[in-house]
Amino acid sequence: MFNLRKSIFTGLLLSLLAIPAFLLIQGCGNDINSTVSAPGDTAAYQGGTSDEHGSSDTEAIDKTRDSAREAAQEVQVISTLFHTANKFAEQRRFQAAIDTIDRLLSVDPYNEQAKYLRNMYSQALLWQIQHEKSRNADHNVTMHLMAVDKDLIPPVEKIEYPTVEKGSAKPIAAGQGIVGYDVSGMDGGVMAQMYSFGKAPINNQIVLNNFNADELWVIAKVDTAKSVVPVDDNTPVSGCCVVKLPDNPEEVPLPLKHTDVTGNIAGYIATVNVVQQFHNPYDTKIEARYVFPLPQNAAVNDFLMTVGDRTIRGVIREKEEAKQIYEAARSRGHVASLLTQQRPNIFTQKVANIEPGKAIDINIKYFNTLAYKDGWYEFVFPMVVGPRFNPPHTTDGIAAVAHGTPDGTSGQSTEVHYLKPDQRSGHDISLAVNIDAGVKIEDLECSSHIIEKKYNSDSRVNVQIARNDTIPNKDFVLRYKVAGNKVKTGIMTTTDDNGSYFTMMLYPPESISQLKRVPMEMIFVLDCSGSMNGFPIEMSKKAINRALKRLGPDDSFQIIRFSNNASQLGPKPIEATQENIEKGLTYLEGLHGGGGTMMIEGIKAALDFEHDPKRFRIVSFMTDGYIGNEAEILKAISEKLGESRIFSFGIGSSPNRYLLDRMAAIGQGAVSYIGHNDSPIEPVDNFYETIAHPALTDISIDFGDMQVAEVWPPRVPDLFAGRAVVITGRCKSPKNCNITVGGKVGSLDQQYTVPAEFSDNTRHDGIAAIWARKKIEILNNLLNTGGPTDLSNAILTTALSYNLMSNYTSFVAVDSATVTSGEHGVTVNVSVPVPEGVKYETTVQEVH
Amino acid sequence: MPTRQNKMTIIILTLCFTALTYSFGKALEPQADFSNVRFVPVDIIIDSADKSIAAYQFELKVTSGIAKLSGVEGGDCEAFKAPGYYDPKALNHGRIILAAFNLDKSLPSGKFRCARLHFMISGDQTPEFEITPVVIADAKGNKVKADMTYRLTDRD
Repeated sequence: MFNLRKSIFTGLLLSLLAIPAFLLIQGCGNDINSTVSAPGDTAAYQGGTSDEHGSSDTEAIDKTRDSAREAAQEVQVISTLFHTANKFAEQRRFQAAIDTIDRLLSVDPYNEQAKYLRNMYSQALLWQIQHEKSRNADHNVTMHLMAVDKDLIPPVEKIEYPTVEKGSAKPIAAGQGIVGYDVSGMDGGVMAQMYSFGKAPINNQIVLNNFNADELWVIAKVDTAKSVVPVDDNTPVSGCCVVKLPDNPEEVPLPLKHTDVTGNIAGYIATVNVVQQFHNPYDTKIEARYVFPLPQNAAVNDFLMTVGDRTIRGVIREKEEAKQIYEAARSRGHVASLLTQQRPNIFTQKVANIEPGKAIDINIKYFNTLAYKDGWYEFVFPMVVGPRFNPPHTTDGIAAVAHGTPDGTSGQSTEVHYLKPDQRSGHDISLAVNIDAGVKIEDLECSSHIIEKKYNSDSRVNVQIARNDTIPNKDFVLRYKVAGNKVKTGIMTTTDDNGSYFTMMLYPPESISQLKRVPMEMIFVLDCSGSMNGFPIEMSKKAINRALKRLGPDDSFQIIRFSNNASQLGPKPIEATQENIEKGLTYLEGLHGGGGTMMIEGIKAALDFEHDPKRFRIVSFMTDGYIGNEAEILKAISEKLGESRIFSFGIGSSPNRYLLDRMAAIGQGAVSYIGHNDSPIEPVDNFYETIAHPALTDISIDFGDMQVAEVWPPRVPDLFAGRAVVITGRCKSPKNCNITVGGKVGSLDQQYTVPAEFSDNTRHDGIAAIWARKKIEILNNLLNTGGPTDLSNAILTTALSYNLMSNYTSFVAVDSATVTSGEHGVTVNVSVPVPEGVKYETTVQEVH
Repeated sequence: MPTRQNKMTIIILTLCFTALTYSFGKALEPQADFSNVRFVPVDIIIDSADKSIAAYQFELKVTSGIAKLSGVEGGDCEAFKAPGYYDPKALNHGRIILAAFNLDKSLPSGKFRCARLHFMISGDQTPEFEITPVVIADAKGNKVKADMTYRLTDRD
């Protein structure tokens, strides 16, 4: 029989026993896995919302809930409409943007921000009409850029357009700079671009020097020397302005304050120092945790931790051993740091026991070789990890979770925390690159960022990102061309206690550019997942559109799309007739982004697809590569490749370059990247130029008297027109000689010589690390594609011997000289913005 | 129909059960025990009398106890303030070889700390080391006769 009194008594007794037991085991609530709900963290407030109304007044609660739900729905509608209007504005469809804002105002008539936006879009529309008219009338429109202090922006209704003379650079108020470059000839597209991104367009070669303002105004001014008829009385003839809407994001205090990057490029080798400045903005001790990217071929071989004026060099250790040292130091109250590798291009930095108000710097040094593509050398520094999709069966993935999400929610081993679109941390980045090409630099460009450059001589230049382009939400991509298309030092060496090492950039022979290719079978594989939604998929479609139109009459094609599953235009290759290309374009137009990234489905559909043996099959993936199961995908490609060659396009401002580069390497093809600010035309045309000629295959290299050993990669990849590959090895005697390269172009044998000249200019300290890093990469690839398991020992030994980060090693640094007081504090994840052009809503997992 | 009191009882019992289950679950999880581990700095001291020192290299061996290198710091003089470089190959084989040189700044002489090594120590025993100077040299590369010793600060 149920004894109520007894049961209550037992329950209370158990509660009294259970609660202390719980508290005892929990210690002070700061176990290793605990995550702080730092100021600004939404998780801090999630647990504390109890029903404050009591159980008696359920009706009132229901009413409150209903109104809350309605309010939430209204907020959602307003947010969507703002977003839509902004998208229209980005596309220069200002009338549509105004209509959308009008819909918004019908829901919320007193929304001041909407009114403000409507005014702006109206101004922009007027400008567009006026600009169009003046262009049709063959009148010049001169545009000026102005940097304006926030406090000086007048109310919108009272804007008086300052008269700015062409090319003027006079300040209009103290402390306020006008960037008055002559930018005649800019069109509406440029204006819209500036409007969208608040920065100068790269194509027009505008550099904003000393730009340090809150807003950028774009002034369009019709040349008054020529008569212009106003569209109507309200149309300004002396100028019109478009103002970037002042953002009012929620400031989220985070422990990563600033990242400072300095790169020194000698020949085609970069030495890069990355300083991450951590601090503690809270009133309690913390552990900071930051997941960040580095280039996929970075040989990370030095690690320093600076506490106050003391610097401690980290020590390379086996991964588990390093973790234990770090955890022990953390529990003992010592300041400590740990750097681990999650993927060759994704790392986690942990810094323990940062006391309130204190700062700790972490300095990471790496070497890497630059890519050579289509005549350009390319230096890339990634700034943010893109949000990855993980198939349901994975647990070792890279999860994308919202800022404030408790650790472990995703079920994946690594979690990247993302800020919401209306959140902003104070973390910014500065980046400088010094190039010493050895020969004249003929051209230099950066489409990702606004840069300032200073030439010290015709072969040396200093480049840095402008002070108004410091949000770390996209890859920094710097390209340069040199005279004669090849850097002087094709071969570089170093000698240390362990012997001599060399790297060589092997360029294709000129002769292959004169030969024509065989007919092609082009398979386009378009990633239609959620992360590609919007700009990336539109960019991909433009690229495929361009590529389809360049197919020859002897070629065939197919279009495959994938997200949660895969489907395609037809069951077999389609002849590239005009009619079929039109069909393909129509199919393409109907594709949209949404859903997961089951890339394996795309791989299967593309590589299992019926092959036409008369044609050279090229599989071209168009993707951002935002997946967490890279190993599975690479293994599948390796198994299914057959006669196919993979030539992919990495899409977006921060693509997964590790995945795409590896896909190209395994697929014996190449990869091109189309950034957020790039036009797809040039990469697609370059791609056609590359595949328009046969590759040099079956390559063998005779190193003459160099007495080489352990050359990586052991099998030299095929050489395509406009592309180069880096070879690295050990040698006994680096002395001047001729290196002979042999191979096949189709069925014809080809041979050419490369002079190897050694001097002081060809020495580089980073070569041994680059060699060891390449060895690790090759051994890892073998291991991942079913190689013997004892390869992992070889990787570990190499990494430990050459002081290198790897999948099996980590850097750890401990300051044993001082002990911080109290417990080890709580863990704060450094949340990051989603990459530019990527939609938060379709990529980041939110826990409600 | 369950009464309000019955409901309360069920809620309390559920809470108790949940708390107990969670507590025991946490208790069963393997917890790292670092009670037998501590961290100590080991200072490397050079006494060169009146000779200025521009470079050094030494080897440090652990002769008793368990000690793992977990950081390398510079010295207390400007010339060797930056941490020296360890030989990773040697470290991989349980030896610590550290070297540094500086020709730019005012060079130290007399008794000074050229480096500080941070160790993780396991067990109660305070470890002992054997230090062997490989080279101590002046700015011209000439070997200098100088003493090299170590000093361990063990708070426990």
